[in-house]
Amino acid sequence: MADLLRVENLTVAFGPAHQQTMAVHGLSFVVKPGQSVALVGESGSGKSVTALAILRLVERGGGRIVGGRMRFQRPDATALDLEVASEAQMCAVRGRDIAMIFQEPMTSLNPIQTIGRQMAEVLTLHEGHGTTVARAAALRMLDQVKMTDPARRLHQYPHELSGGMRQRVMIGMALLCRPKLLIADEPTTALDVTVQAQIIALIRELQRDLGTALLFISHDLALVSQIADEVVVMQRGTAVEQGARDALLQAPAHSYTQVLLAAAPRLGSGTPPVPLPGADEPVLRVTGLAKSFPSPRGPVAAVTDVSFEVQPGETLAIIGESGCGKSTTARLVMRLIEPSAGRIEICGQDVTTLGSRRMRAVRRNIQMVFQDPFASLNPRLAVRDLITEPLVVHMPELSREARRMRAIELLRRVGLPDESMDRYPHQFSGGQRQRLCIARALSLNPRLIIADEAVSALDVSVQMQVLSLLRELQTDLGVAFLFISHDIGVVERISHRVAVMQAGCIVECGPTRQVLEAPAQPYTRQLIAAVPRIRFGQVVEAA
Amino acid sequence: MPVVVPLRQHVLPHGIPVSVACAAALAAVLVILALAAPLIAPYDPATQTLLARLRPPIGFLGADPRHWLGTDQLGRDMLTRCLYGLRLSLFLSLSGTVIGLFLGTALGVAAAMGGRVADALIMGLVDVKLALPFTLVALVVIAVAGSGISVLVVVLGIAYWAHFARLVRAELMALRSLPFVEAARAVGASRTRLAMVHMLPNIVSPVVVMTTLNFSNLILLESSLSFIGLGVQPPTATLGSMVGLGRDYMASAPWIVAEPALLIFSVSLAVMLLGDFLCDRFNVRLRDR
Repeated sequence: MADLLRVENLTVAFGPAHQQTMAVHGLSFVVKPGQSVALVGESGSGKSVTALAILRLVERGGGRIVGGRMRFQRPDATALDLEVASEAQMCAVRGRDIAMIFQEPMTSLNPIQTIGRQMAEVLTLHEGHGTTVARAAALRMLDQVKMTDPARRLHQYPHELSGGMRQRVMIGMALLCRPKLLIADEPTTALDVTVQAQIIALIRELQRDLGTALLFISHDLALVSQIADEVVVMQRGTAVEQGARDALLQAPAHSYTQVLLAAAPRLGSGTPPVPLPGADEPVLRVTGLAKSFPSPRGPVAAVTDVSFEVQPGETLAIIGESGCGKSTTARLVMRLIEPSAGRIEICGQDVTTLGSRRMRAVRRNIQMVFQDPFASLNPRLAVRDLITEPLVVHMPELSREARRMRAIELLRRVGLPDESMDRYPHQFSGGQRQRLCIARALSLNPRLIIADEAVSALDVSVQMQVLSLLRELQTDLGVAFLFISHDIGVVERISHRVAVMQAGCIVECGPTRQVLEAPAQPYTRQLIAAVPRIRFGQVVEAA
Repeated sequence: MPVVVPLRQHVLPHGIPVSVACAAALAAVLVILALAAPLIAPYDPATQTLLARLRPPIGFLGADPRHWLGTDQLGRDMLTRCLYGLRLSLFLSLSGTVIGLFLGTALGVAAAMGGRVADALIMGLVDVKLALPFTLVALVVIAVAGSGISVLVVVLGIAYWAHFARLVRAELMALRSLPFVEAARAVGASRTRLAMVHMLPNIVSPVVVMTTLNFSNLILLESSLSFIGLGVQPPTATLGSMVGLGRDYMASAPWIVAEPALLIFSVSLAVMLLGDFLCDRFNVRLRDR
């Protein structure tokens, strides 16, 4: 069979000619009709740039295709060299022969147009259909992507749909013109695991029915193993390993592929956490915690009834999907927002109604690490001021020199060089920034650190490093963690106990092994079944 | 992947762009001229020489060599009046801007950080201020307090505080929900520390831009007040009043308007360029990595 897309030696550069950086260097791969090829790699590996280069959209981002060939077989059996095609030729190809779906379904849809209008526009634009015909086709497509009540959806606006529904709309729009190739750039990264499983199943089914080829871009090797025939593993702009899925996953030759494979969740085989220390007075005890937020249509309950304890030196993970109230719980415990009901005890002291001044004294024992390492550090403060801020607040008597010594100690503790002291947050990578956040949280030797999705924004290999840092700190300092995450693969590596949250309640709580291997509640079972795992051989339908 | 390609700029050894160096030099010259006006001005700014009226600047037909920049409709020396006008205009807009900046920033901070009641009160006040025609307010103040330089400073000071208050409040509100501010709260930082260390330094850039814009606006506002007789009273000269009063002679003696207008332009240009530069300087992210 002729190749649908043949990419040879693709090289894409960014920056001015005299100091250009290669985002993609000498990349070659082939997509056959109806086949699915996955580009896997971490942020900055050049996988998205490759997608943009194929559609010739990379120039708008300041990039240049400086070498290589991209030959695309058009439906009329003529070949088009994408790297030299004119803008007019590309306009005809984009959306009709090659369609793309993006990571963030909210921003990829126009917020002020109805779903129906946006979908119809694709057809009126590319196929010259009239509005009525286009609307009918849009309706059929919504049905095909398994939207509930498609006729009503046509008249709805993007904000009225959930993330998963929006991604279904995006997929529907991409497939409206029956493209030969669908490029999906991290299409499920912003979605919950259960929704992700549905979307992946949908893409696979549509691909089978319509015979569309798929170029699937992801950082998640486990996810890729469920959908791809061919896998290209990318690192720093080059393909370090590529080949048929089973061969590649069963015998990864390159060390980087092995790292990615090791990082993929394999329930039941995660590193066993250190044994649980003997029960003592808990550092944190939460009883009957509830929080509702006011809204125009009456109060909305985010957390309805949450009770748990965290023992000294223990890690309790709270897992759940977006909107289940896990972050609200963290913020309630930190007293960043006021609870509607319930009781919070920190080290035996009831802090539920403490005034802000008395609460400040309690905060020495309980610190927090936030999700987004890019936004949780004040961009205007140098590292020495950032990580010693808790000292300034809680121990104003410390001399500048003493703070400096402590800052150096903290930096070494989290594995950053001493020279970092005088640098600013923007000069660090994501993983390094999260190390800074951890250093800041450690500065007062707290008894409990609340980590709210602390590794979610990091690449998997960096995730592993930060997780082992956290484990090491726990062994050395005896600090307890309340670890909030949606990622079960991460949770099983770090936590002693797991609490599963759904719709503001804890539905199940127990030792990690027990909850993950023998879940008692149907919701937990559903959640765990949806986690993508490395699969070999025949692709199994997701649960 | 967005990539920022820096504009190529001609840069002096200390990393200061040539345009900024020029603006700084221009500003320095203007300030020195304004400060030294009583020492270097050749004549008294109010002395009229009716026999030498409407003389063009030297280089034009009919120029009087004693009056380098010509004379106005009452035979007053334009160079002298420009120097004194520059002096007074700079003083008025600078003090007006500073008063507005501090008043507005203080109220904006209070509104954003002081709780719901303070916010409602202050923002109500801002709405009232913006709804009232400024001329009317100025008229009342001047009718009550009389017209003098100090009254005018107060009037100009209260002209733009509401803009600062709104800007500062909106910027702080946006910052308040950012994770790093939340992180500082989690650490236990007090409200004062939050405002002074984490929030205010992060809104310097928009406030600097607003300040430079207001500085030029105040020069023009003062001239419009002078024009309706509420500003500085004749014969005292400000750049704005010179433009206002000279407009009847635009066709026959354009220099009466052009000279002070050129000065207003130079002042605004210097202030804007310096403001832009400071704005970037305050942004740690633009410092070299």
